[in-house]
Amino acid sequence: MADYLKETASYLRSVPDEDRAELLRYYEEYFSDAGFDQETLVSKYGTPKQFSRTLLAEYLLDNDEAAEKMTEEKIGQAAQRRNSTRLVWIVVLALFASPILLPVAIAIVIGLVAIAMAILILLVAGFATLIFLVLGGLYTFVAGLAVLSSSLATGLFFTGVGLAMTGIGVFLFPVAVRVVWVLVDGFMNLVKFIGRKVVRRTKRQQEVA
Amino acid sequence: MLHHQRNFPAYERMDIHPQAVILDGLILALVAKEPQYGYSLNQAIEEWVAINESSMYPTLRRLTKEGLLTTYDEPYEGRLRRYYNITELGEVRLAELRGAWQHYAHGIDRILGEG
Repeated sequence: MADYLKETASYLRSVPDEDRAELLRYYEEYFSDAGFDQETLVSKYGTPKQFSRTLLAEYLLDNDEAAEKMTEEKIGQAAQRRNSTRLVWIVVLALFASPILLPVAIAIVIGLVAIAMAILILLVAGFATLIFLVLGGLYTFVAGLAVLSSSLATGLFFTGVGLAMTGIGVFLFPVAVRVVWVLVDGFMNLVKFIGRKVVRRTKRQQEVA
Repeated sequence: MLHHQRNFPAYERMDIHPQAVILDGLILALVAKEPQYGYSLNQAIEEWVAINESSMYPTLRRLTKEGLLTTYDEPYEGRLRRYYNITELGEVRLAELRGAWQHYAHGIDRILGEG
């Protein structure tokens, strides 16, 4: 049993020392009290590597919730996003380490990638449109000025349109940035949701097995 | 009856992670009766209801961090056993959860119950 936990520990080096020690200490005590032998451990929790993935996923999920709940103001938005990025990788790893059928796991990952790409394309298109509005607007404005001398009406029209285009583009820019964060956060929540399902399912399947 | 439609405090709603909130209550209730260690807690709960084993440790850790539980170590068979104890804050939360659970269970009964 000690070897099992030692091996599990070796896969948990990314967890802060204190948290890792506490975590392993809990399970050491728990396994002792339960009197699990090597066989039971593997049938209940999988290989040390699989177990470490479960523990890591739970640790990050729990930490993420705790972090969101208690330190929303303290941790900057950027730091929270960095933690979320790590979480995506952990969930992907946990997904493949779980007893979920490989084709299903691959399908889920492909689905996530597709969604991420769709979001990316949407954002690129959105920003491209805004840039077009701003630059096109400036160009139209300048063109309007040039025509002003020959035709007042046409010139005024183009300068007006040009200003409107630029104005709209500039105005919508912060809106677009906000939309970016909403989509990214939404995607992260989807990943966390999947992570939770995978971890719970892994536990249940291993208990049934 | 429209009394259960709006303005529930977060714990009364129990709609986001009902399992997680229930586990909080189970742990606090058992520990309030007498101090428990990891395995004894698990066994006491599993005697009546199946829970997700792997969420025990994260929950215990969180409850301790939130100041609802305290821990102390006692030697046992040459090693140390960590016991969990309830705090005053924990007792308050337990009372809240009990109330929330009654409300929740009542609502479920109304729908699932006969008639």
